Amino acid sequence: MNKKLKNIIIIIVTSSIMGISYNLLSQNGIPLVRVEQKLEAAEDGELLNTSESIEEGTIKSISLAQAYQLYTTNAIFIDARDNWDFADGHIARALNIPEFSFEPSDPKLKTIDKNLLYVIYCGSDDCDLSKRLANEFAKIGFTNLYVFLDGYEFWLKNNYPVEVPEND
Amino acid sequence: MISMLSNKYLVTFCRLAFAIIFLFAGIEKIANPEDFAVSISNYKILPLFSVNIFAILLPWIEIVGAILLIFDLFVEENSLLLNSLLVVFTVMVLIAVLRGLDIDCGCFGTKMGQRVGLLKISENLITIGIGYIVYKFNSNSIPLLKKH
Repeated sequence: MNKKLKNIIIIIVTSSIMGISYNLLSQNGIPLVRVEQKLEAAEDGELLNTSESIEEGTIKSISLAQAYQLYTTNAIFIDARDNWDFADGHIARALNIPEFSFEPSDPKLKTIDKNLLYVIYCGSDDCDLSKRLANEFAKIGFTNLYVFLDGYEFWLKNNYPVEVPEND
Repeated sequence: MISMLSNKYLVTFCRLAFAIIFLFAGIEKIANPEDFAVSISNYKILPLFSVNIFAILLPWIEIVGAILLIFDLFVEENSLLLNSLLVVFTVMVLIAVLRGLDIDCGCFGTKMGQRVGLLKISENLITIGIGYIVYKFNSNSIPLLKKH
């Protein structure tokens, strides 16, 4: 085998061993295989029920109609996308808490009531920012959370209230 | 032109700059592997099950390659390896742009918040150029460690 190629393979294998070992020992380590988190769909009747606690893995998803129903009851919508996407357009009255920069100690979180009803969404059904942010919210004591899986694009497509920049 | 590009100070500068770029990129990603995995999955190119393993391994290849480059070890191999990775990343960014995805590129982790776009592609092309100079003219580079 070409010596250069052999050296490249040695470098890749050594780096890989270091990477896997570090990942196993690190507190921030992640599973080697990524699995998509599935959410159970919420029933219409339970939407406005308040719960005392919610755990990661028990958060439910809601449909577009259910999301709009909660919107009309003044549930708080949280946009989990980054601030660029949020600035390009978002569900009217939504707050932006980007999942990628989420910090449990964020002062913004201290100003909002954890017992109110929250709906978390991201761009569309193929992004999982909303699910991950909902898990983070559950960990810090938010009790009434739903994930609107279809997200902003589907909401916009169905002409529900949005806020977009004036020049769009 | 070739004599200018092969100037030993320029080649040394390129080698160190190229290494430092990858060193910082790798460190940022190692600090937040989950965020980097999300960045990779946002490109929607790799199957979901394989995303984490790339997020775990790629930063270490970048860091090990960068450290070896700094110490002038296996320079041809490392510059070729890191430049190949950079070409793949650039193609991924280009595909994302062509597909209309407006996503964080994940190039230096997610905290720096760089978007995919023509600016990112231009930056990568310049870095590929730097990597090529290192690969092609490394024999003129000034080693950090004295070789016997």
